Amino acid sequence: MGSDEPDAVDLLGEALPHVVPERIVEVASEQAGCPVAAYVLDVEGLFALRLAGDGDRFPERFRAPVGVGPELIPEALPVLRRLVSDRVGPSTLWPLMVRDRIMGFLLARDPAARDLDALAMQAGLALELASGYTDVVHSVRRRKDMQPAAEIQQDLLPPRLAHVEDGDVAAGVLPGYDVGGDFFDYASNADGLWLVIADATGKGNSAAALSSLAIGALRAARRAGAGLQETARLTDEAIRGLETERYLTAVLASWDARRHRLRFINCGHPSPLIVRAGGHVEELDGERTYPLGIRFKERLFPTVSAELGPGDRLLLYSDGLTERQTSDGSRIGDDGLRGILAELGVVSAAMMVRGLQDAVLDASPEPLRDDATLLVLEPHD
Amino acid sequence: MHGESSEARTTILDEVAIVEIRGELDLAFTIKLKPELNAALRTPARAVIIDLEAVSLIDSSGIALLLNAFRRLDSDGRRLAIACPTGSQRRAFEVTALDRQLPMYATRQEALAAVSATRPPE
Repeated sequence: MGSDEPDAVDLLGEALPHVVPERIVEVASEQAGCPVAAYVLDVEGLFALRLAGDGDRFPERFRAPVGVGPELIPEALPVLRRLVSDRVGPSTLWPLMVRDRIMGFLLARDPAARDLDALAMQAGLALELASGYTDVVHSVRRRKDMQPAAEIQQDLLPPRLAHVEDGDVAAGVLPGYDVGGDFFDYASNADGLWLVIADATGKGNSAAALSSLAIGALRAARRAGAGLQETARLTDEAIRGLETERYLTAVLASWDARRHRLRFINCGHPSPLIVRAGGHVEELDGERTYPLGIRFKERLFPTVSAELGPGDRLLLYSDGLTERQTSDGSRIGDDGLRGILAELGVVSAAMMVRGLQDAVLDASPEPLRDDATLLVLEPHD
Repeated sequence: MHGESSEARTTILDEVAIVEIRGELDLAFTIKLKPELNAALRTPARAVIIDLEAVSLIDSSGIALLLNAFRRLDSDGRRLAIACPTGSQRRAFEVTALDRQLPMYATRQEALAAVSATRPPE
């Protein structure tokens, strides 16, 4: 590091966590020789919100549907640049990166004396680290007050975008008006890429409590080395221990990247879809069992296999998507979903999630009645 | 919420309580339906039929309520039968694979016949 290049440690330095955003903007403005502001995306990935910087010079917020949750979609950077210049005129933008994830951006409206790329990378890291210790970043991201159930949901979820061995994962939850207990999870392990999507009955705090327990049981099993069936069984047991009639529908899946093979257990959830290379949508409608948390005399967890390799896209979703009401009084439905996928065409995992989320939001002016969750896996060559 | 226009009505016929539901069985209506269902379960009826023939939509809360009724009746040695036509009305039960576990019949008539048949020897 050059002597006048602050790194993440310098930016965190002696500054208290909650002033790190101001510190970043201070250093950036100094280096650029003009005012700079820092922006993050809201939790729905729809708006850019000013985290720090001169309020007279930089807008507090503007519409920027370029995120999957609060993470910026890399392919959407050109769109963001256009939206920014539409809003504030000629300007320069530098993404705040944490490895390959874009957490926000620095913005200058005047010509910058130097390129801030290196600083932006360090600033991204500093911000990510600081946000573990202070609420300031989280608060700015939340345009609306969040209920406890919504807060739990945000905390439970892993990063929205990930490059895993041999593929890209993109996932998101569009929360219902009264948050509904959906979640997703994934883990790149030695025995394969684990993928989970789940939907708890009910809404609000009780659904959040059930989801929290379920994701805990699931991760505990998986981290102890349990396979698909054992993980399903242990999660089922944990929920039954609550002695409630509430249950969790879920798809638990494991992808073998080398053999191009997906194995999964469907516990009462909408079937996974694979969009094949030519655009054909295949529904993986094999054997299924009933949801987790219920017990009848017989409890089996049948495993289904499917081929999944480069050129394909796997889509796991919750019924909040297909049940979403449309302006004409009906619902998106299975046909509607296939129509949206056909219109989106061949796009990255992140753009597919953003595109599907936009379609769900645009279907009706009414708020969502239920969480709509998506997870897309795009195998690489 | 749509559940506001839903209705439920219980009648007793030959020691069988028939709970007829009309409209959407969603979270909002599930809350209103609980007392009605509890009342039906507390009668001395030897079987309960839940008639969903006029139900347009049933969500996970509705299903959880049915599971609760099934469990309570089962622990009493009493029978539950659910009248639900095949087709779009059964979707929620098919996706959750509960159509294979819950006693489901296409019509109220068939449900009544099922609970009225002599019990096979245990």
